[in-house]
Amino acid sequence: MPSNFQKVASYGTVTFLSVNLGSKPLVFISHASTDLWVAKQLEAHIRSCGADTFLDCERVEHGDDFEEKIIEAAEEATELLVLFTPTANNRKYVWMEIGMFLGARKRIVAALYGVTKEQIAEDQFTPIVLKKIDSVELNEIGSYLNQLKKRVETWKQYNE
Amino acid sequence: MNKTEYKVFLSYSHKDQEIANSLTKAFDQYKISYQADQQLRAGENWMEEIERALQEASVFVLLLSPDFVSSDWAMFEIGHAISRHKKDKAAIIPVIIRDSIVPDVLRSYLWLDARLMKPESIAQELKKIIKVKVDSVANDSDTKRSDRSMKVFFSYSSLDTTIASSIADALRQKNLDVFPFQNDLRATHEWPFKEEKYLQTCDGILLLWSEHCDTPSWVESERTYKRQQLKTIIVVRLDDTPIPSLLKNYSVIYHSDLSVIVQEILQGFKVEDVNQ
Repeated sequence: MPSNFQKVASYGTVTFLSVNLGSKPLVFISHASTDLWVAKQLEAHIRSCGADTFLDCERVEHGDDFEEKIIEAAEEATELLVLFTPTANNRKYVWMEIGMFLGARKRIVAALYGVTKEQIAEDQFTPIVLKKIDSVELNEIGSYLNQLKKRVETWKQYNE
Repeated sequence: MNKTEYKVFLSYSHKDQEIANSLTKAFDQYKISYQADQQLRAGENWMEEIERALQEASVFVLLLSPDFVSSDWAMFEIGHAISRHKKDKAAIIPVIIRDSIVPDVLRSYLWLDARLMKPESIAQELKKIIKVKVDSVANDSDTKRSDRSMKVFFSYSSLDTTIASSIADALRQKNLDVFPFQNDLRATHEWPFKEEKYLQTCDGILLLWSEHCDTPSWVESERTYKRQQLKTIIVVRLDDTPIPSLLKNYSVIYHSDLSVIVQEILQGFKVEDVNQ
């Protein structure tokens, strides 16, 4: 029996199993500070899917240890949504956050805004790691949100 | 230590290739098993090679230089290393090879100031530090954890990094939250925000005193420490170098045995040994 399955009860030859699907989806939104407005719109859509979010400007308060908060949030989050824009490409924390989620083997999706998949593929200065991350253009973010909604519903089914 | 017990991932800027080459030769000499970032880039599937090496590494050695800390790729690898440290207790050892800031996200790790060291000496020092780290992880599996750990601000000379690393790791095994601070780097790191904040919020202060400590900078540091009036301050003497009179008011530990030093520090901070 897989480790995430648990025997709940048995009646004769019938066994009831529950499956532990882990934590409720918590999406860490990585963005450049100049893209904050767009990041907040994304956050609202993600929350309307029922998922929790982490957006640094809202969760890190004045006086907090910024890096420590980011690292803690990355540990807690179940997936990373990178708002990838021409500005974000030059923002070091975005790269650190991508590294943290890859290191933890968590889901990473890039929402492209102002850049296309083709441009990324051709740009020799864009680290190759981004070319390998699942990406979706912002105009088509609905497909990601639909999948996220399904993940939230599946989680609710077994945990609420 | 057996060469196969750990795997080092060596991360550096391609502009520091020459230093890295000398260092990897010294790694071979000291039987340090490693995979070097830039060397992995030679192959066709280099991204996969690097990803595999990042996942397999149990020790991350990061060569800090201005070119390294300003690179996106370095930040990506630093992020990866931090995540592996959190998830698998992989060790992170920042090594300053050229005048460079230490990125904020790496400030809580003990770094080695190797700007004036030869590659052989760096490898020798790293081998000692890696041994401490690997042993520390092996001994950590039985450690009991409490909800809140005591926060200790740990000040030492960069030339005492190896012994500082042993003490810090031993205290972390005892569930203390240790924030390292190399006091001789004050000239370049003038009480940065992160250090100042930790100093204010910590529960105790631990100072290593040795021949490497520069008395004038200690006098200045001591004034800062003294402002933390309600905190316990403990001084550990590493050699016969006389202690400045202003440090004599604090608890002084002077012993050659690491386990005794650690026990006395715990007693000084009135911390219960979680492993007993």
